Amino acid sequence: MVNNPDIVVETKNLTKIYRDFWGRQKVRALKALDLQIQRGEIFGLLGPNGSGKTTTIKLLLGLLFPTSGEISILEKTASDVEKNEKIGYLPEESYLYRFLNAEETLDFYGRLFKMSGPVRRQRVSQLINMVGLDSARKRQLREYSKGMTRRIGLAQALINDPDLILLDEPTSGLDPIGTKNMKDLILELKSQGKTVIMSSHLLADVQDVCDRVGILYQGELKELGRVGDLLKVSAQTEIRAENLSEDAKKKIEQIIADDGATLTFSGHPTTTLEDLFLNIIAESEARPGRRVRGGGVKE
Amino acid sequence: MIFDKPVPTPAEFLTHNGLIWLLTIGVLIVAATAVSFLTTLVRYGNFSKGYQAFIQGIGAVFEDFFFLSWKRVWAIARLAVKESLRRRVLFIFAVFLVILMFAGWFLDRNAVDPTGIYLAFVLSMSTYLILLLALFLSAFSLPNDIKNKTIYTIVTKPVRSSEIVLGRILGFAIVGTALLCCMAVLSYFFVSFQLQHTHILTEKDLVAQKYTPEEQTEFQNSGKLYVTHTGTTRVANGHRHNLTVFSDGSIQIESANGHTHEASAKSADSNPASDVAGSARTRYAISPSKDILQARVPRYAVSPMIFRDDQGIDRLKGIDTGHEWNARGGIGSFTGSTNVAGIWTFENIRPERFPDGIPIEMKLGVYRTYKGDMEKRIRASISVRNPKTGLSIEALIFPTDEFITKSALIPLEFHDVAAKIEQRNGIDENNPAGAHLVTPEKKDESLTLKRDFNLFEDFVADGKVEIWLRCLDEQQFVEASLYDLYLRESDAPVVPNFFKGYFGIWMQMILVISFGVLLSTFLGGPVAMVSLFGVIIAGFSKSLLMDIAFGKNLGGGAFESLIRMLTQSNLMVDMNKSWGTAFVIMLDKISGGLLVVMGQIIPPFSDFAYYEQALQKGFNVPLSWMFVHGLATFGYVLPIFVVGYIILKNREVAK
Repeated sequence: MVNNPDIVVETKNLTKIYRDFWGRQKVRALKALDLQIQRGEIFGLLGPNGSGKTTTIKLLLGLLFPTSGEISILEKTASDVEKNEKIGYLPEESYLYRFLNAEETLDFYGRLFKMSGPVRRQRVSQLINMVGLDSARKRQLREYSKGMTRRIGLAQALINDPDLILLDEPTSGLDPIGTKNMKDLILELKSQGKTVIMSSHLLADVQDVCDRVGILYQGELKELGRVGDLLKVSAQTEIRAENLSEDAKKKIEQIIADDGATLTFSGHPTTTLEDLFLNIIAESEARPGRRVRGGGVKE
Repeated sequence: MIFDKPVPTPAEFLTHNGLIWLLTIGVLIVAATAVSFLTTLVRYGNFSKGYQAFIQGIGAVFEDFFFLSWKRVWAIARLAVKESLRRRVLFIFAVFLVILMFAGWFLDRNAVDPTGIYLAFVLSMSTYLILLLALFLSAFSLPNDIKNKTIYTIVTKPVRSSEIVLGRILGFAIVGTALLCCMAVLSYFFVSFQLQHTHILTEKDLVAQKYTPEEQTEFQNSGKLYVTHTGTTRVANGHRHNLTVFSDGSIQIESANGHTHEASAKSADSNPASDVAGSARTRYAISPSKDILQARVPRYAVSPMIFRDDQGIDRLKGIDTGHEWNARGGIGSFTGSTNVAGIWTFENIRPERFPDGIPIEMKLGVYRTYKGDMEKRIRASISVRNPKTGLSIEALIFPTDEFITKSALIPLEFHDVAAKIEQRNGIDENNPAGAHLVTPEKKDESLTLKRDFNLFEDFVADGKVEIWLRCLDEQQFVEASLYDLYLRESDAPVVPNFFKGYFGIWMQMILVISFGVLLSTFLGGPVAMVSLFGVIIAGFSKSLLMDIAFGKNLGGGAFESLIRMLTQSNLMVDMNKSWGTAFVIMLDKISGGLLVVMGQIIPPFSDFAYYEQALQKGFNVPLSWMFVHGLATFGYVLPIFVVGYIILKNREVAK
């Protein structure tokens, strides 16, 4: 394997076959995956349910053992526990002890990193504050809503200030605000120079935050590259303008016609439902108690 | 006392059991290494790659032990404690409390040995509850973590599998220990308060001693203490105490049902103390019961105990009185020969240790033949003999009681009596079942003349003394074993001893927890629990299993027994010689061999019954037992921890 400190994760020919008790092959969850993830990037694993995204993440973490192939993660093997010092992991659903409250949960995970008492207490309250669970810090997790569980799960993943963060379906079960916050947070982590690997089947999420994506389908890597490159439609050009007069619009249409190109669409853009929703929430918080009028994005 | 099998001394244990332990561990390590090497090779399908991976794996194992962080172990232990508490483990304590509240209704306070009954009850109650708790906690915890996938967030932290296993064991041990301590404290108060009682004594219960006027004046002139009254107290808890009132007004109460009381008399008037007893104006105060719990420190005789038969031959076995299950032998004679005796030899008897004489305690069996008088108690005598000079003197004659511990004091002085010389015959070491006569040495007969004797000067030689027990009634037998007669050297403090008795339960709990955590590293919760239950049952019947394994029990092993059942053949009859029976016996040998191997792994839960029994019978639990058994427990926990770790490390927890 390459000893390049800029390559945070590298897999070679990584294959995972699930077998039953008798050793008979049940399913090939992952087929000969070759992957290199650079320091400081946000990498998205994209694919429909059952395509091998979670299997890949579990293999990287050593929760599963590969059937064949090699893994190098933070220059260590996947089975080396010491790699975990600098890794944060948010599982698909937050699998946490439901009998602990938020503070106890984070305190427990902090202890696993051998943090000293004062450091732990400071980090715990900082994280609880960051994920917005201040009011629920003493409640047992069994009473938490799905979104709250997700947030405490994220706090747990960040307790050790990791360099590499693996997020399995980070936005699943979150409301649009939660999703937005999660995406902001991922970008914030990137700005701190951390590497993020996330899996998702929600295309919009991946598109918004990821630098590069790998698209998995039935255990095989189908596409790998920069999001911008993958999505760029080179044959089309999009122009956006504000307060454009009808005259000017006509002129532009004329220029296009003169150039011999075809105008495929002209009109007012519609916003995405996500944008609309977020906007309404923002309006409501700014002026509580009033029905929000109109739509449209104000950016 | 109660044991057919003595607990080894720490030195014996370390040399003997320690070696077996090392051997077992060595075999396990070699086997485990071989198996893992082969599986690695098969997995990699290529020798050099497999070999490399194997070496790496071995390195990782060592790392996981030597870089194990106690901070993380403690974090996981804390979690286990919290988990148990939030799962309402303390409810068990409430159950215990409720049981104790109602137990008083059903336990018999009026029994001959109420302390034994009460202790047996609280000890077995604590054992059952705490072992059940240990069973459920340890068998379900790790499988639950895997089922709920909470293990994902643990193993993706820098936590080693060794820390997970050790943390669990430690955490549950803390919970169990705390709970067991509470149970012990509660049990202590339960037993002491439930059995606390006093008796009523009035002048009507006393009978004045009749003396002639001459005697009366003689007593008064001599100034010596004399008995003025005898009597019995009123009944409480189903018994009375006999008592004696002395001329100075002091009252001595005999022990009954294993305890005694103190008593004092006080006149309602301002009469002198000597006139108090028997007066109608006297008020008697009897203290609450004393010595309900005891912690006697016994000093046993050196092995072997000798049974002298009616020919005067020394043997290692007494007369067979039909007790199959214990080491007791009968002492007595059909012919009325005075030769017959049971002989205990005590060593290291120093006058400074026994300033008031040698206190002995006996718990003797009685075997009556039909020729005796059923109504009469069998009489027995105790003599002391100097092993060097052969000088022997009869110190005590007493009626025997079955099932009751009898205390007696061998006095320091014997006044104006004759002694005699007893010859001892050597035992043939090569023929321990029988014996042979050796020509008796010439002993100095002049020593026996009637005179005053001193216990330590005349009967103890180099700290050695022999105690001879004889049955004085013809054709009746007294039964005893090496541990049935001992010197009651001193008493240990009672309260610490009570907790030492609970140490046996504690070790059982630790073993159950460790085995539970081990099984839960590779089995699902319910399966782990049932398997653990199997381990516990096997542990409790380990001695039976070992007898079967070594072919010691009558009627052969499982297969032979089956044949015997089907053919309805007697246990004592040899099997027909045929190829069929040879085959069956061979099957038994094979299964016996497997059992022997398994037996090395199964913890001997029955050994820990010693603690309960010592407590019940009022004996001190020696620290040497605790050391030996504590070490044995550790000897189990250590490999269990290692095996559990290896299994967990090689398990795909996310599967």
